[in-house]
Amino acid sequence: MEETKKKRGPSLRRYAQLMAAVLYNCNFKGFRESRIFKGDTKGICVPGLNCYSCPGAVGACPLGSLQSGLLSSWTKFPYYVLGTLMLFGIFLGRLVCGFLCPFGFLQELLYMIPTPKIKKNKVTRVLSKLKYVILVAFVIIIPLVKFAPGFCKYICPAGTLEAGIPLVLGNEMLREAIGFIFSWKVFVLCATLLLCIFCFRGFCRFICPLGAIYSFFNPVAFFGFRVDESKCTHCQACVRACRMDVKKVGDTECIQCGECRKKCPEGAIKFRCGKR
Amino acid sequence: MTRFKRILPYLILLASLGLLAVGLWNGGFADVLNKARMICYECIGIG
Amino acid sequence: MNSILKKTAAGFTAALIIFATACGTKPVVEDHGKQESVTPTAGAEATQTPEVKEPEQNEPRAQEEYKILKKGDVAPDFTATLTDGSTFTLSEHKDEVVLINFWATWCPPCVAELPDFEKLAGENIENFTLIAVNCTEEEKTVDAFIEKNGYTFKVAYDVDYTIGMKYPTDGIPYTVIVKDGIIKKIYLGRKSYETFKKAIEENLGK
Repeated sequence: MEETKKKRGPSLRRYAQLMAAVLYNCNFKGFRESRIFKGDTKGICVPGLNCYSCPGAVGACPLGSLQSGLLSSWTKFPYYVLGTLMLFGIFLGRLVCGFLCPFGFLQELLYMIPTPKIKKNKVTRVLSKLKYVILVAFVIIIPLVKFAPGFCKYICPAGTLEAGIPLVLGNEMLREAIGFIFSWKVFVLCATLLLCIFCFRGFCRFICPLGAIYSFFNPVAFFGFRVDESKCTHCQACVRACRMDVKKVGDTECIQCGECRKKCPEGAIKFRCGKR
Repeated sequence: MTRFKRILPYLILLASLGLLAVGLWNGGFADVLNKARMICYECIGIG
Repeated sequence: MNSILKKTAAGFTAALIIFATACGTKPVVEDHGKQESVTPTAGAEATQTPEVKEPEQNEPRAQEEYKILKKGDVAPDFTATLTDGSTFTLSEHKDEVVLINFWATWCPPCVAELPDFEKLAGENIENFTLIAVNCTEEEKTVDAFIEKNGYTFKVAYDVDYTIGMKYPTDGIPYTVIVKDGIIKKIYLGRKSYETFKKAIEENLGK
């Protein structure tokens, strides 16, 4: 079964991930000139984590926009960003993580490197709560209290990879400006990428505040994989097969990748759209 | 309770559309656009 | 069914990548908005476009957008409305050293620089003018911010991005020092009071 699956080439999900990555970053000439895109589409947030300071980015990062919105909330509260996040959340939930996030895609590609892997365990389950702490501390409190976009400035490895490094490489003046924060962020990026080789989607599971936001909506989202309770025998084959820290299909940790659908002996897992 | 669970997604949908409308009305789009096309280097860790 | 979907997805992805690559190399891209419609890459196109572009020279458009300023360039002239209601024209300060800073209220490093500018402006250095141009924020936001912090130096609005387009930059804080209408120094990112003070004194010939 596994063998034949592999021979059939990349899954639909892979194409969706690739398409999302290209669509979010299709300003290719930006990479060549090391200049960022300035068109009007940048006023729209993309669903996935994709730095808007990336030379290729044609849309805004919802998490970056949320932080910069919060730090200037004394003039204008970021209703627009919150509304966008809720809209993505209620329709797609963490389908965004599974299908539409370029950084998630990168992590899955890294996981394909054949090395010994760290399976999910009690420790990873506890660590998976860390993203909520990061959400509250770095995305909400630091922008409001310390007047700095905490997550973008101190953590975000996607920002370092997509924006920090390309911009610094292409701009001599920026090379003079780099200091400790840049070194720290490159370290975080390297650590994250290394983690993801050994641990499936380590960043998404433990760190990503955007995933944490979408996770609140995941159990009630209109689209996503759900278990048909009338067919389910509670054999837990789905939970065992899943590489995320899920307790059941479609809970807050589920990224809606649909891998479990093939593992269910009863065929009880279905993609549900709209109607509940 | 089950009824509440059933209507919850629709309530969230309404709330999100409401927030989006308020956000668009008070210039949220331009706000995001400004911040996305005039970046702050220190904010992305170049500093 | 699944294989048809997959093939469609594969084809679509390939088409998308080719399209995006083409957009990246071609000078004219429709959905990039008006500001980005011209890129001086290919020589042939560049010679064709001026016919259309040149009559629009007065309007701040694509070509200025793409001319990133360097040390030694002529500082583009502009007239700005200041927060106190008066106007500021760069060409009227030709004999002076002018520090032009681009900032925004949402940009923490920019905001952190402003007290230094207040100090510099307060020193009343002879033949020196300092102006901080806000980047595309609403007038009431700028006013509220200036009032809150009690700044008294020259702060200009640039609600429609006309000044910003003459001094294109991807990021702020962005500071240029102009002397005799020529750009003498460009700073990207946050710099210290001492850095600015030293640069000003150098240019004043002190």
